[in-house]
Amino acid sequence: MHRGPAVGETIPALQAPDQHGRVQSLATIRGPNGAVIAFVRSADW
Amino acid sequence: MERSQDALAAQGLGLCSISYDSVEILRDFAARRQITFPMLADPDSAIIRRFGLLNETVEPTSRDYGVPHPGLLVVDAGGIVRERFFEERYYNRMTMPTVLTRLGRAFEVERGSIAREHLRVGTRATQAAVHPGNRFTLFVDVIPLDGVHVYGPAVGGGYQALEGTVDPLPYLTFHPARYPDVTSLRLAWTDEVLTGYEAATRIAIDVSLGTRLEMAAVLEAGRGLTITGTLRVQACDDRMCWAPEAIPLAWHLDLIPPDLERSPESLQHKPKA
Repeated sequence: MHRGPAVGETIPALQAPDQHGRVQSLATIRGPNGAVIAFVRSADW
Repeated sequence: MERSQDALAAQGLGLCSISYDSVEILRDFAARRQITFPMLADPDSAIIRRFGLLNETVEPTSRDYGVPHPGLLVVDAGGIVRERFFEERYYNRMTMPTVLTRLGRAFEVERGSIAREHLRVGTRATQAAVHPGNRFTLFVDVIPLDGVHVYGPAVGGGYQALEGTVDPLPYLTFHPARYPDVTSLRLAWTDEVLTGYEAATRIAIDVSLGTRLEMAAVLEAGRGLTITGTLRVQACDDRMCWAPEAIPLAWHLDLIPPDLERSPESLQHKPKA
């Protein structure tokens, strides 16, 4: 349960292509108050 | 998640997912399911590792190696973590309506209502339909009528403490009930300081469902999911106390089987050599 960034920590750099091949980062994903980042197992299975 | 985008945008929050899928798998999935929020491709699990979320209990040669521990981070505009929602069991997911409720937006559907002469009790939930593995929230609303108060969860003094419980089911885990802060009650007949509630009060009980295999019989029966429970409560006004009560509660929810459709064969993850 205690894995990954803790409350109050800054997350590491986030940059990757999305389903359209467009590179996204926190700057492009976030709204004015931030973002929900969901770590999921797979869209394949 | 797709349907919660508007509610998240209303809170000024963006949304993305990250997985070890390739862009091609995500393109195929997003087209099949009409997903519009960004699904980030991390096929080498570089981001997953950088976040410290690589699931290292997975066998390195298996198809699944590279997956993260599943969960949600809520970050502010500067990338600082505000909330984390990670579950003990890998197959449990807190649903988006439940996350939104934790973030302060009321998100609920009514499930039932019981009236007594001195109070009303309502049962609500964060959603009307659930899937195996979901973690969602059940609410018990205790609404004392004018002039009536109910005692709180730690009242003592021989009074019935407020308690909401859920009846056990083999495929369901319930989490400790959460109660709002109590107030001190000014009572005509005693100098004792008693605590409770004089206004509408919401008890929240999170429930985590088991896997589709654990729920096979309930899914097969096709009659949805009925969860029962009990509210123990004692109400008084400034002249008298009603006897302590055990009020039966019920929530009925639709139960939807999980999506088992896979990507086209040429795109699927395979075991590593």
